[in-house]
Amino acid sequence: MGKDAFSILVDRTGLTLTDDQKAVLFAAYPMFQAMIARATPPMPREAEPSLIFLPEVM
Amino acid sequence: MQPFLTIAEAGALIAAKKLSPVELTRLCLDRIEKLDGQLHSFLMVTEDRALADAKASEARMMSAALKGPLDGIPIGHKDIYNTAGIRTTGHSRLLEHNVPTEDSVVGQKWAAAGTVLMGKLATHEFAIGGPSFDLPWPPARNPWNTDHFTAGSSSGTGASVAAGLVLGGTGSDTGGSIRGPSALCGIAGIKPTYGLSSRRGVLPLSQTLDHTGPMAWTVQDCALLLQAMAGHDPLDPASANRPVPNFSADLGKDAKGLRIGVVRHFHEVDNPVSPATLKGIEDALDIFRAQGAVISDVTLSPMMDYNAPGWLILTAEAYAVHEPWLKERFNDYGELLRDRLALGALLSATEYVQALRRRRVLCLETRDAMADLDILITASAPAEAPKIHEVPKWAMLEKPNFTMPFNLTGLPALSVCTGYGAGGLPVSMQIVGKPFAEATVFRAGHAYEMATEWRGKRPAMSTALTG
Repeated sequence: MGKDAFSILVDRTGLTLTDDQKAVLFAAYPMFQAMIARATPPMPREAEPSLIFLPEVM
Repeated sequence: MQPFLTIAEAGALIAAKKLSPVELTRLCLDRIEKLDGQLHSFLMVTEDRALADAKASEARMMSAALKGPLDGIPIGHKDIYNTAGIRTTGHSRLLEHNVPTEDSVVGQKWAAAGTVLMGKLATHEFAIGGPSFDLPWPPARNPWNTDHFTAGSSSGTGASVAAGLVLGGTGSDTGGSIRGPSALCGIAGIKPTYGLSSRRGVLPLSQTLDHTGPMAWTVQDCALLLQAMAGHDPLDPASANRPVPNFSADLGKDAKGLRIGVVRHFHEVDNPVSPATLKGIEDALDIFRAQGAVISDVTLSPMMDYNAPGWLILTAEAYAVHEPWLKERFNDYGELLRDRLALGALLSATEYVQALRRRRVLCLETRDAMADLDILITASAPAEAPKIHEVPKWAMLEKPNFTMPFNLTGLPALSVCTGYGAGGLPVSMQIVGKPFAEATVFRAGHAYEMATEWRGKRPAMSTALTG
Protein backbone atom coordinates (compact mmCIF):
# COMPACT_ATOMS: atom_id res chain seq x y z
CA MET A 1 0.00 0.00 0.00
CA GLY A 2 1.35 3.43 -0.93
CA LYS A 3 1.42 6.49 1.28
CA ASP A 4 -1.56 8.11 -0.44
CA ALA A 5 -3.73 5.03 -0.13
CA PHE A 6 -2.70 4.69 3.51
CA SER A 7 -3.61 8.32 4.12
CA ILE A 8 -7.10 7.70 2.70
CA LEU A 9 -7.42 4.60 4.90
CA VAL A 10 -6.57 6.64 8.00
CA ASP A 11 -8.92 9.46 7.03
CA ARG A 12 -11.78 6.98 6.74
CA THR A 13 -11.36 6.05 10.42
CA GLY A 14 -12.45 9.47 11.55
CA LEU A 15 -9.15 10.19 13.28
CA THR A 16 -7.60 13.56 12.59
CA LEU A 17 -3.87 13.03 12.11
CA THR A 18 -1.15 15.30 10.79
CA ASP A 19 0.98 14.15 7.87
CA ASP A 20 3.83 13.47 10.29
CA GLN A 21 1.59 11.35 12.48
CA LYS A 22 0.38 9.41 9.46
CA ALA A 23 3.98 8.85 8.41
CA VAL A 24 4.79 7.27 11.77
CA LEU A 25 1.88 4.86 11.43
CA PHE A 26 2.71 4.18 7.80
CA ALA A 27 6.20 3.09 8.76
CA ALA A 28 4.85 0.61 11.31
CA TYR A 29 1.94 -0.62 9.20
CA PRO A 30 3.83 -3.44 7.40
CA MET A 31 4.77 -4.95 10.77
CA PHE A 32 1.17 -4.62 11.91
CA GLN A 33 -0.09 -6.29 8.75
CA ALA A 34 2.36 -9.14 9.30
CA MET A 35 0.96 -9.56 12.79
CA ILE A 36 -2.60 -9.60 11.48
CA ALA A 37 -1.65 -12.27 8.95
CA ARG A 38 -0.06 -14.36 11.68
CA ALA A 39 -3.11 -14.00 13.92
CA THR A 40 -5.58 -15.05 11.27
CA PRO A 41 -4.42 -18.26 9.59
CA PRO A 42 -6.99 -20.48 7.87
CA MET A 43 -9.11 -22.26 10.45
CA PRO A 44 -11.79 -24.93 10.20
CA ARG A 45 -15.21 -23.54 9.43
CA GLU A 46 -16.37 -24.90 12.80
CA ALA A 47 -13.72 -23.03 14.83
CA GLU A 48 -15.54 -21.04 17.51
CA PRO A 49 -14.39 -17.65 18.78
CA SER A 50 -13.17 -17.51 22.37
CA LEU A 51 -16.06 -15.22 23.27
CA ILE A 52 -19.49 -16.78 23.08
CA PHE A 53 -22.69 -14.90 23.74
CA LEU A 54 -24.42 -15.79 27.00
CA PRO A 55 -28.11 -14.95 27.21
CA GLU A 56 -28.11 -14.70 31.01
CA VAL A 57 -26.64 -11.28 31.68
CA MET A 58 -25.83 -9.95 35.12
CA MET B 1 12.93 -2.48 63.34
CA GLN B 2 14.59 -4.32 60.45
CA PRO B 3 14.97 -1.94 57.51
CA PHE B 4 13.19 -4.22 55.05
CA LEU B 5 10.30 -6.41 56.09
CA THR B 6 8.15 -8.62 53.94
CA ILE B 7 4.39 -8.49 54.38
CA ALA B 8 4.46 -11.87 56.10
CA GLU B 9 7.16 -10.71 58.51
CA ALA B 10 5.54 -7.37 59.26
CA GLY B 11 2.13 -8.98 59.69
CA ALA B 12 3.52 -11.47 62.18
CA LEU B 13 5.28 -8.74 64.16
CA ILE B 14 2.13 -6.60 64.23
CA ALA B 15 0.09 -9.59 65.36
CA ALA B 16 2.60 -10.10 68.18
CA LYS B 17 2.43 -6.37 69.08
CA LYS B 18 6.16 -6.11 68.32
CA LEU B 19 5.77 -3.68 65.42
CA SER B 20 3.80 -0.47 65.32
CA PRO B 21 1.88 0.06 62.05
CA VAL B 22 2.42 3.79 62.56
CA GLU B 23 6.20 3.35 62.83
CA LEU B 24 6.22 1.11 59.77
CA THR B 25 4.19 3.65 57.83
CA ARG B 26 6.49 6.49 58.89
CA LEU B 27 9.50 4.45 57.74
CA CYS B 28 7.92 4.04 54.30
CA LEU B 29 6.92 7.72 54.13
CA ASP B 30 10.49 8.67 55.00
CA ARG B 31 11.82 6.45 52.21
CA ILE B 32 9.34 7.94 49.76
CA GLU B 33 10.49 11.43 50.69
CA LYS B 34 14.15 10.52 50.25
CA LEU B 35 14.00 8.32 47.16
CA ASP B 36 10.94 9.07 45.09
CA GLY B 37 12.39 12.25 43.68
CA GLN B 38 14.65 9.92 41.70
CA LEU B 39 12.20 7.08 41.18
CA HIS B 40 8.96 8.91 40.28
CA SER B 41 7.07 5.81 41.35
CA PHE B 42 4.27 7.80 43.03
CA LEU B 43 1.87 10.12 41.23
CA MET B 44 0.40 11.08 44.57
CA VAL B 45 1.43 10.32 48.16
CA THR B 46 -1.59 10.18 50.48
CA GLU B 47 0.30 10.87 53.69
CA ASP B 48 -2.67 11.94 55.79
CA ARG B 49 -4.69 8.94 54.69
CA ALA B 50 -1.74 6.63 55.33
CA LEU B 51 -1.23 7.89 58.87
CA ALA B 52 -4.95 7.69 59.60
CA ASP B 53 -5.07 4.12 58.28
CA ALA B 54 -1.98 3.23 60.32
CA LYS B 55 -3.38 4.73 63.51
CA ALA B 56 -6.63 2.82 63.04
CA SER B 57 -4.63 -0.36 62.53
CA GLU B 58 -2.59 0.33 65.62
CA ALA B 59 -5.76 0.77 67.64
CA ARG B 60 -6.99 -2.59 66.40
CA MET B 61 -3.63 -4.12 67.29
CA MET B 62 -3.84 -2.78 70.82
CA SER B 63 -7.38 -4.08 71.26
CA ALA B 64 -6.60 -7.50 69.74
CA ALA B 65 -8.98 -6.81 66.87
CA LEU B 66 -6.67 -7.10 63.87
CA LYS B 67 -8.37 -7.96 60.60
CA GLY B 68 -5.73 -10.39 59.41
CA PRO B 69 -2.21 -10.62 57.99
CA LEU B 70 -2.53 -7.43 55.91
CA ASP B 71 -3.63 -5.21 58.78
CA GLY B 72 -1.20 -2.28 59.06
CA ILE B 73 0.66 -3.11 55.84
CA PRO B 74 1.63 -0.09 53.67
CA ILE B 75 0.49 -0.57 50.07
CA GLY B 76 -0.04 1.49 46.94
CA HIS B 77 -2.51 1.32 44.08
CA LYS B 78 -1.60 1.63 40.43
CA ASP B 79 -3.23 4.82 39.25
CA ILE B 80 -5.81 3.05 37.12
CA TYR B 81 -7.51 1.71 40.28
CA ASN B 82 -10.29 4.09 41.28
CA THR B 83 -9.93 5.59 44.75
CA ALA B 84 -12.86 7.45 46.28
CA GLY B 85 -12.01 11.09 46.80
CA ILE B 86 -8.43 10.57 45.60
CA ARG B 87 -7.33 11.56 42.10
CA THR B 88 -7.13 8.67 39.64
CA THR B 89 -5.48 9.69 36.40
CA GLY B 90 -4.36 6.66 34.41
CA HIS B 91 -1.14 8.70 34.20
CA SER B 92 -2.88 10.67 31.46
CA ARG B 93 -3.60 14.28 30.74
CA LEU B 94 -7.14 13.24 29.82
CA LEU B 95 -7.92 12.31 33.44
CA GLU B 96 -5.57 14.76 35.11
CA HIS B 97 -8.29 16.03 37.44
CA ASN B 98 -10.44 12.91 37.70
CA VAL B 99 -11.59 12.15 41.24
CA PRO B 100 -13.71 8.99 41.50
CA THR B 101 -16.50 8.64 44.00
CA GLU B 102 -15.96 4.94 44.67
CA ASP B 103 -13.02 2.66 45.31
CA SER B 104 -12.30 -0.22 42.96
CA VAL B 105 -13.49 -3.54 44.28
CA VAL B 106 -9.91 -4.61 44.92
CA GLY B 107 -9.29 -1.34 46.73
CA GLN B 108 -12.34 -1.95 48.90
CA LYS B 109 -11.18 -5.45 49.73
CA TRP B 110 -7.65 -4.41 50.64
CA ALA B 111 -8.98 -1.56 52.76
CA ALA B 112 -11.30 -3.99 54.52
CA ALA B 113 -8.24 -6.16 55.23
CA GLY B 114 -6.68 -3.24 57.11
CA THR B 115 -4.03 -2.14 54.62
CA VAL B 116 -2.50 1.34 54.79
CA LEU B 117 -2.95 3.33 51.58
CA MET B 118 0.29 5.19 50.85
CA GLY B 119 -0.76 6.67 47.52
CA LYS B 120 -1.25 6.23 43.81
CA LEU B 121 1.47 4.70 41.71
CA ALA B 122 2.80 5.51 38.26
CA THR B 123 1.68 3.54 35.25
CA HIS B 124 2.13 3.78 31.55
CA GLU B 125 -0.61 5.97 30.12
CA PHE B 126 -3.86 4.03 30.47
CA ALA B 127 -1.69 0.96 31.06
CA ILE B 128 -0.19 0.79 27.59
CA GLY B 129 1.70 3.82 26.40
CA GLY B 130 5.13 3.94 28.00
CA PRO B 131 7.75 4.88 28.71
CA SER B 132 6.47 8.33 27.82
CA PHE B 133 8.18 11.64 28.46
CA ASP B 134 5.38 13.87 27.18
CA LEU B 135 2.83 13.30 29.96
CA PRO B 136 2.05 15.47 33.01
CA TRP B 137 4.23 13.14 35.14
CA PRO B 138 7.55 11.47 34.30
CA PRO B 139 7.84 7.70 33.95
CA ALA B 140 8.96 5.63 36.93
CA ARG B 141 12.62 4.68 37.08
CA ASN B 142 14.22 1.37 37.98
CA PRO B 143 15.59 1.48 41.55
CA TRP B 144 18.45 -0.87 40.65
CA ASN B 145 19.70 1.79 38.24
CA THR B 146 17.61 4.85 37.55
CA ASP B 147 18.93 5.14 33.99
CA HIS B 148 17.03 1.97 33.26
CA PHE B 149 13.46 1.04 32.42
CA THR B 150 11.01 -0.51 34.87
CA ALA B 151 8.91 -2.12 32.14
CA GLY B 152 5.24 -1.48 32.39
CA SER B 153 2.63 -0.75 32.72
CA SER B 154 2.60 -1.34 36.50
CA SER B 155 5.86 0.58 36.60
CA GLY B 156 5.33 2.53 39.81
CA THR B 157 4.34 -0.60 41.71
CA GLY B 158 7.44 -2.43 40.51
CA ALA B 159 9.77 0.42 41.43
CA SER B 160 8.20 1.26 44.79
CA VAL B 161 8.03 -2.34 46.01
CA ALA B 162 11.63 -3.05 44.99
CA ALA B 163 12.87 0.10 46.71
CA GLY B 164 10.91 -0.64 49.88
CA LEU B 165 8.61 2.40 49.65
CA VAL B 166 5.61 0.09 50.03
CA LEU B 167 5.41 -3.58 50.95
CA GLY B 168 3.01 -4.47 48.16
CA GLY B 169 0.77 -2.97 45.55
CA THR B 170 -1.72 -3.52 42.81
CA GLY B 171 -0.91 -4.08 39.19
CA SER B 172 -2.93 -4.85 36.13
CA ASP B 173 -1.86 -7.14 33.33
CA THR B 174 -3.21 -7.08 29.78
CA GLY B 175 -0.10 -8.24 27.93
CA GLY B 176 2.42 -8.52 30.74
CA SER B 177 1.98 -5.37 32.82
CA ILE B 178 2.38 -7.12 36.18
CA ARG B 179 5.04 -9.63 35.19
CA GLY B 180 7.15 -7.22 33.12
CA PRO B 181 7.83 -4.70 35.91
CA SER B 182 8.12 -7.53 38.43
CA ALA B 183 10.83 -9.06 36.25
CA LEU B 184 12.77 -5.87 35.57
CA CYS B 185 12.51 -4.59 39.15
CA GLY B 186 13.38 -7.95 40.72
CA ILE B 187 10.20 -8.59 42.69
CA ALA B 188 7.38 -11.15 42.57
CA GLY B 189 4.14 -10.51 40.73
CA ILE B 190 1.29 -12.70 39.63
CA LYS B 191 -1.28 -12.35 36.92
CA PRO B 192 -3.99 -14.59 38.32
CA THR B 193 -6.36 -16.69 36.26
CA TYR B 194 -8.72 -14.53 34.22
CA GLY B 195 -11.81 -13.93 36.32
CA LEU B 196 -10.27 -14.68 39.73
CA SER B 197 -9.97 -11.05 40.80
CA SER B 198 -12.46 -8.30 40.03
CA ARG B 199 -11.68 -5.65 37.43
CA ARG B 200 -14.55 -3.39 38.51
CA GLY B 201 -13.42 0.13 39.25
CA VAL B 202 -10.19 -0.30 37.30
CA LEU B 203 -9.77 1.73 34.10
CA PRO B 204 -10.20 -0.77 31.25
CA LEU B 205 -7.73 -1.35 28.47
CA SER B 206 -8.86 -4.57 26.78
CA GLN B 207 -11.67 -6.29 28.58
CA THR B 208 -11.01 -9.84 27.46
CA LEU B 209 -7.32 -9.62 28.36
CA ASP B 210 -7.33 -7.35 31.43
CA HIS B 211 -6.40 -8.95 34.75
CA THR B 212 -5.91 -7.44 38.20
CA GLY B 213 -3.23 -8.84 40.49
CA PRO B 214 -0.71 -8.19 43.25
CA MET B 215 3.01 -7.37 43.26
CA ALA B 216 5.29 -7.72 46.28
CA TRP B 217 8.83 -8.56 47.33
CA THR B 218 8.17 -12.28 47.78
CA VAL B 219 5.93 -14.98 46.41
CA GLN B 220 4.51 -15.54 49.88
CA ASP B 221 3.48 -11.89 50.04
CA CYS B 222 1.77 -12.17 46.67
CA ALA B 223 -0.22 -15.12 48.01
CA LEU B 224 -1.33 -13.06 51.01
CA LEU B 225 -2.30 -10.10 48.84
CA LEU B 226 -4.16 -12.22 46.30
CA GLN B 227 -6.08 -13.89 49.11
CA ALA B 228 -7.54 -10.51 49.98
CA MET B 229 -8.42 -9.54 46.41
CA ALA B 230 -9.76 -12.75 44.87
CA GLY B 231 -13.40 -13.73 44.81
CA HIS B 232 -16.59 -13.50 42.83
CA ASP B 233 -17.88 -10.08 41.90
CA PRO B 234 -21.39 -10.38 40.47
CA LEU B 235 -21.05 -6.97 38.83
CA ASP B 236 -17.91 -7.90 36.90
CA PRO B 237 -19.20 -9.99 33.99
CA ALA B 238 -15.85 -11.80 33.68
CA SER B 239 -15.71 -12.73 37.36
CA ALA B 240 -15.55 -16.44 38.13
CA ASN B 241 -18.18 -17.70 40.54
CA ARG B 242 -16.18 -20.30 42.43
CA PRO B 243 -14.74 -20.74 45.91
CA VAL B 244 -11.44 -19.06 46.70
CA PRO B 245 -8.84 -21.57 47.92
CA ASN B 246 -6.16 -20.90 50.51
CA PHE B 247 -3.29 -19.67 48.34
CA SER B 248 -0.77 -20.16 51.15
CA ALA B 249 -1.78 -23.73 51.87
CA ASP B 250 1.06 -25.35 49.93
CA LEU B 251 3.81 -22.84 50.64
CA GLY B 252 5.56 -25.13 53.09
CA LYS B 253 5.96 -27.86 50.48
CA ASP B 254 8.95 -28.07 48.19
CA ALA B 255 8.76 -29.07 44.53
CA LYS B 256 8.78 -32.82 45.17
CA GLY B 257 6.45 -34.55 42.74
CA LEU B 258 5.67 -31.44 40.72
CA ARG B 259 5.48 -32.14 37.00
CA ILE B 260 7.19 -29.25 35.28
CA GLY B 261 7.13 -28.53 31.55
CA VAL B 262 9.82 -26.23 30.20
CA VAL B 263 8.72 -24.24 27.16
CA ARG B 264 12.31 -24.14 26.07
CA HIS B 265 11.70 -22.94 22.54
CA PHE B 266 10.04 -19.77 23.85
CA HIS B 267 13.25 -18.54 25.52
CA GLU B 268 15.89 -20.32 23.45
CA VAL B 269 14.53 -19.98 19.91
CA ASP B 270 11.49 -17.73 19.60
CA ASN B 271 13.06 -14.84 21.55
CA PRO B 272 16.48 -15.96 22.81
CA VAL B 273 17.17 -14.64 26.30
CA SER B 274 20.37 -13.25 27.78
CA PRO B 275 22.96 -15.64 29.27
CA ALA B 276 22.06 -14.50 32.80
CA THR B 277 18.36 -15.09 32.23
CA LEU B 278 19.01 -18.52 30.77
CA LYS B 279 21.33 -19.43 33.63
CA GLY B 280 18.67 -18.34 36.11
CA ILE B 281 16.12 -20.64 34.53
CA GLU B 282 18.51 -23.59 34.29
CA ASP B 283 19.62 -23.12 37.91
CA ALA B 284 15.98 -23.03 38.98
CA LEU B 285 15.31 -26.26 37.11
CA ASP B 286 18.29 -27.84 38.90
CA ILE B 287 16.81 -26.78 42.23
CA PHE B 288 13.38 -28.18 41.36
CA ARG B 289 14.96 -31.40 40.08
CA ALA B 290 16.98 -31.78 43.27
CA GLN B 291 13.78 -31.35 45.29
CA GLY B 292 12.14 -34.18 43.38
CA ALA B 293 10.26 -32.49 40.57
CA VAL B 294 9.83 -34.29 37.27
CA ILE B 295 10.98 -32.04 34.45
CA SER B 296 10.36 -32.36 30.73
CA ASP B 297 10.36 -30.10 27.71
CA VAL B 298 7.06 -29.08 26.18
CA THR B 299 6.42 -27.68 22.73
CA LEU B 300 3.73 -25.15 21.93
CA SER B 301 3.16 -23.10 18.80
CA PRO B 302 5.83 -20.43 18.26
CA MET B 303 5.55 -17.63 20.78
CA MET B 304 4.70 -15.11 18.08
CA ASP B 305 1.64 -17.22 17.20
CA TYR B 306 0.34 -16.39 20.69
CA ASN B 307 1.46 -12.78 20.60
CA ALA B 308 -0.15 -11.97 17.27
CA PRO B 309 -3.81 -12.61 18.19
CA GLY B 310 -3.13 -11.22 21.64
CA TRP B 311 -1.90 -7.87 20.39
CA LEU B 312 -4.54 -7.74 17.69
CA ILE B 313 -7.33 -8.31 20.22
CA LEU B 314 -5.75 -5.85 22.65
CA THR B 315 -5.38 -3.15 20.02
CA ALA B 316 -8.94 -3.57 18.76
CA GLU B 317 -10.53 -3.60 22.21
CA ALA B 318 -8.39 -0.73 23.51
CA TYR B 319 -9.20 1.33 20.44
CA ALA B 320 -12.90 0.71 21.06
CA VAL B 321 -12.51 1.91 24.66
CA HIS B 322 -10.64 5.05 23.66
CA GLU B 323 -12.20 5.83 20.28
CA PRO B 324 -14.30 8.83 21.37
CA TRP B 325 -11.31 10.56 22.96
CA LEU B 326 -8.96 9.54 20.16
CA LYS B 327 -11.28 11.23 17.70
CA GLU B 328 -11.76 14.38 19.76
CA ARG B 329 -8.54 14.76 21.77
CA PHE B 330 -5.91 12.78 19.85
CA ASN B 331 -3.09 15.13 20.78
CA ASP B 332 -3.92 15.09 24.47
CA TYR B 333 -2.63 11.53 24.60
CA GLY B 334 1.06 10.82 24.78
CA GLU B 335 2.69 9.97 21.49
CA LEU B 336 3.29 6.31 22.31
CA LEU B 337 -0.27 5.53 23.30
CA ARG B 338 -1.93 7.40 20.47
CA ASP B 339 0.29 5.80 17.85
CA ARG B 340 -0.11 2.29 19.22
CA LEU B 341 -3.88 2.59 19.58
CA ALA B 342 -4.45 4.36 16.27
CA LEU B 343 -3.49 1.11 14.57
CA GLY B 344 -6.64 -0.35 16.09
CA ALA B 345 -8.73 1.89 13.86
CA LEU B 346 -7.28 0.08 10.86
CA LEU B 347 -8.43 -3.38 11.93
CA SER B 348 -11.49 -4.94 10.35
CA ALA B 349 -14.26 -6.67 12.25
CA THR B 350 -13.35 -9.89 10.46
CA GLU B 351 -9.75 -9.69 11.64
CA TYR B 352 -10.86 -9.22 15.23
CA VAL B 353 -13.22 -12.19 15.09
CA GLN B 354 -10.60 -14.37 13.40
CA ALA B 355 -8.17 -13.49 16.19
CA LEU B 356 -10.79 -14.57 18.73
CA ARG B 357 -11.22 -17.87 16.88
CA ARG B 358 -7.45 -18.31 16.85
CA ARG B 359 -7.36 -17.55 20.57
CA ARG B 360 -9.59 -20.52 21.30
CA VAL B 361 -7.44 -22.83 19.18
CA LEU B 362 -4.36 -21.78 21.17
CA CYS B 363 -6.18 -22.14 24.50
CA LEU B 364 -7.01 -25.72 23.55
CA GLU B 365 -3.43 -26.36 22.48
CA THR B 366 -2.07 -25.14 25.81
CA ARG B 367 -4.64 -27.10 27.78
CA ASP B 368 -3.68 -30.30 25.97
CA ALA B 369 0.05 -29.61 26.40
CA MET B 370 -0.46 -29.21 30.15
CA ALA B 371 -2.66 -32.28 30.56
CA ASP B 372 0.08 -34.24 32.34
CA LEU B 373 1.89 -31.27 33.85
CA ASP B 374 1.38 -29.05 36.90
CA ILE B 375 3.29 -25.97 35.77
CA LEU B 376 5.15 -24.51 32.82
CA ILE B 377 8.39 -22.58 33.07
CA THR B 378 9.87 -20.05 30.68
CA ALA B 379 11.31 -16.54 30.92
CA SER B 380 9.37 -13.47 32.10
CA ALA B 381 11.56 -11.04 30.19
CA PRO B 382 14.40 -11.52 27.72
CA ALA B 383 17.14 -9.86 29.76
CA GLU B 384 17.97 -7.19 32.31
CA ALA B 385 16.18 -3.87 32.01
CA PRO B 386 17.26 -1.78 29.02
CA LYS B 387 18.05 1.90 29.40
CA ILE B 388 14.85 3.88 29.59
CA HIS B 389 15.62 5.94 26.51
CA GLU B 390 16.41 2.85 24.43
CA VAL B 391 13.03 1.12 24.54
CA PRO B 392 11.78 0.54 20.99
CA LYS B 393 8.45 2.14 20.17
CA TRP B 394 7.16 -0.89 18.29
CA ALA B 395 8.75 -3.58 20.46
CA MET B 396 5.54 -5.58 20.58
CA LEU B 397 5.44 -5.81 16.79
CA GLU B 398 9.11 -6.67 16.41
CA LYS B 399 9.60 -9.51 18.88
CA PRO B 400 7.20 -11.75 20.81
CA ASN B 401 7.06 -11.17 24.55
CA PHE B 402 6.96 -13.96 27.10
CA THR B 403 3.89 -12.78 28.94
CA MET B 404 1.18 -12.31 26.31
CA PRO B 405 0.66 -16.07 25.75
CA PHE B 406 -0.78 -16.31 29.24
CA ASN B 407 -3.04 -13.29 28.86
CA LEU B 408 -4.35 -14.89 25.72
CA THR B 409 -4.96 -18.20 27.48
CA GLY B 410 -5.95 -16.64 30.81
CA LEU B 411 -3.66 -18.92 32.80
CA PRO B 412 -2.10 -17.86 36.14
CA ALA B 413 1.49 -16.72 35.63
CA LEU B 414 4.02 -15.60 38.22
CA SER B 415 7.30 -13.76 37.71
CA VAL B 416 10.07 -14.60 40.16
CA CYS B 417 13.52 -13.03 40.46
CA THR B 418 16.28 -15.51 39.57
CA GLY B 419 19.32 -13.38 40.28
CA TYR B 420 21.19 -10.46 38.79
CA GLY B 421 22.94 -10.00 35.47
CA ALA B 422 26.29 -8.53 34.58
CA GLY B 423 24.89 -5.01 34.90
CA GLY B 424 23.61 -5.66 38.42
CA LEU B 425 19.98 -5.58 37.35
CA PRO B 426 17.53 -8.42 38.07
CA VAL B 427 16.70 -11.35 35.82
CA SER B 428 13.67 -13.60 36.22
CA MET B 429 11.60 -16.59 35.21
CA GLN B 430 7.90 -17.18 34.75
CA ILE B 431 5.92 -19.98 36.40
CA VAL B 432 2.58 -20.76 34.75
CA GLY B 433 -0.22 -22.89 36.15
CA LYS B 434 -3.48 -24.45 35.09
CA PRO B 435 -6.66 -22.38 35.44
CA PHE B 436 -7.32 -21.44 39.08
CA ALA B 437 -4.25 -23.41 40.26
CA GLU B 438 -2.57 -20.37 41.79
CA ALA B 439 -1.69 -22.35 44.93
CA THR B 440 0.52 -24.66 42.88
CA VAL B 441 2.19 -21.72 41.15
CA PHE B 442 2.87 -20.10 44.53
CA ARG B 443 4.19 -23.39 45.90
CA ALA B 444 6.79 -23.63 43.16
CA GLY B 445 7.76 -19.98 43.36
CA HIS B 446 8.08 -20.03 47.14
CA ALA B 447 10.10 -23.26 47.07
CA TYR B 448 12.49 -21.57 44.65
CA GLU B 449 12.80 -18.41 46.75
CA MET B 450 13.45 -20.42 49.89
CA ALA B 451 16.26 -22.29 48.13
CA THR B 452 18.02 -19.15 46.89
CA GLU B 453 19.40 -15.97 48.41
CA TRP B 454 18.07 -13.37 45.98
CA ARG B 455 15.46 -12.02 48.40
CA GLY B 456 18.24 -10.85 50.68
CA LYS B 457 19.44 -8.15 48.30
CA ARG B 458 17.82 -4.74 47.84
CA PRO B 459 18.68 -1.85 45.52
CA ALA B 460 21.71 0.12 46.69
CA MET B 461 19.74 3.37 46.80
CA SER B 462 17.50 1.82 49.46
CA THR B 463 20.14 0.07 51.51
CA ALA B 464 22.20 3.28 51.56
CA LEU B 465 19.47 4.88 53.67
CA THR B 466 19.85 2.29 56.39
CA GLY B 467 23.45 3.23 56.97
